[in-house]
Amino acid sequence: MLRTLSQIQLEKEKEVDSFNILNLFLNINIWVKIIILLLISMYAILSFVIINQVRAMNKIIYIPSSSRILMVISVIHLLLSISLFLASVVIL
Amino acid sequence: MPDIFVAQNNNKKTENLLSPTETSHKVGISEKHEKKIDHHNKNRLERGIKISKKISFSNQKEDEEIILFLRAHFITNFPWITISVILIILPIIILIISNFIDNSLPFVTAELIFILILFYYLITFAYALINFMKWFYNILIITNLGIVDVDYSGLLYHDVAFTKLNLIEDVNYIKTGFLRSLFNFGDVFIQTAGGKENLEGIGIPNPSNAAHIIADSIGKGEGSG
Repeated sequence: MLRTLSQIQLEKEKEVDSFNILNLFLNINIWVKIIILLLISMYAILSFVIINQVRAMNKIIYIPSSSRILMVISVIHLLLSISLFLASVVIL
Repeated sequence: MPDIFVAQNNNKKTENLLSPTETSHKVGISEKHEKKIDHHNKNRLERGIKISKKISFSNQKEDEEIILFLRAHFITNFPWITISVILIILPIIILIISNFIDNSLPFVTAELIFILILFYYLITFAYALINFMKWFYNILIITNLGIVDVDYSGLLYHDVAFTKLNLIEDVNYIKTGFLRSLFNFGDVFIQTAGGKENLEGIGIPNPSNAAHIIADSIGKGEGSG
């Protein structure tokens, strides 16, 4: 059975694609990026937990100005962690 | 039947029972100076009441007034503040050192380093914030009706204990160590009746005064709370 030139080319391209995918999985850069993104996302969850804790503690004990400042700081912290996640998605 | 033990008249004890004015005369403090001290203490007390009136806590009753609001001395924050400062300086030192070392890792790009540094400083910030919260929310409140002990020892654990004044059995304080003596802070322990858990204030400034105020209010506020 004779194969046409275009068929041979297609088969070669497929081989190259599978090689690229394998190469991508073995590439350490990708794994570093995935791990960093995972860590930052986990950190964003932690900062959300901090906000919840501040809210819960402010319900137990409320000291007018200080409690409000602490709440603002924890919200800023959450915003910073979310923006770091977005920045790492874009930059990395 | 002869007496087994006969108590002797203790003259020293009667001396202590003298009124403060009499005691001050004995010590040699002038009346003018004494009035000045009283006025100063009154002002401090009034200021304290003004602060405590703004503070509110859960389960607080309408007629419940805060007598003492205790939190650990600020110097107890010294260890985590020092660690935070070291953590802030550390990357700068590492960056200076890394200039002299060749970058042998091919995947470490400038973008990656930038993100890692930002992430590192965010973690340092969280470390400082959580430690500050530990200090800020560890509170012991003494009201005219009872005692509220708020323990916050981590992100996932906090414990709040309410006790009536008539359930308090004993109060004691411990002040040991150089720093504690220098800055006048210590631990106050309040023992409650029966199976109720004991309350504690760790690193409280001026623990002797706090213990005396709590001891004075033992047994008060009966039938309330």
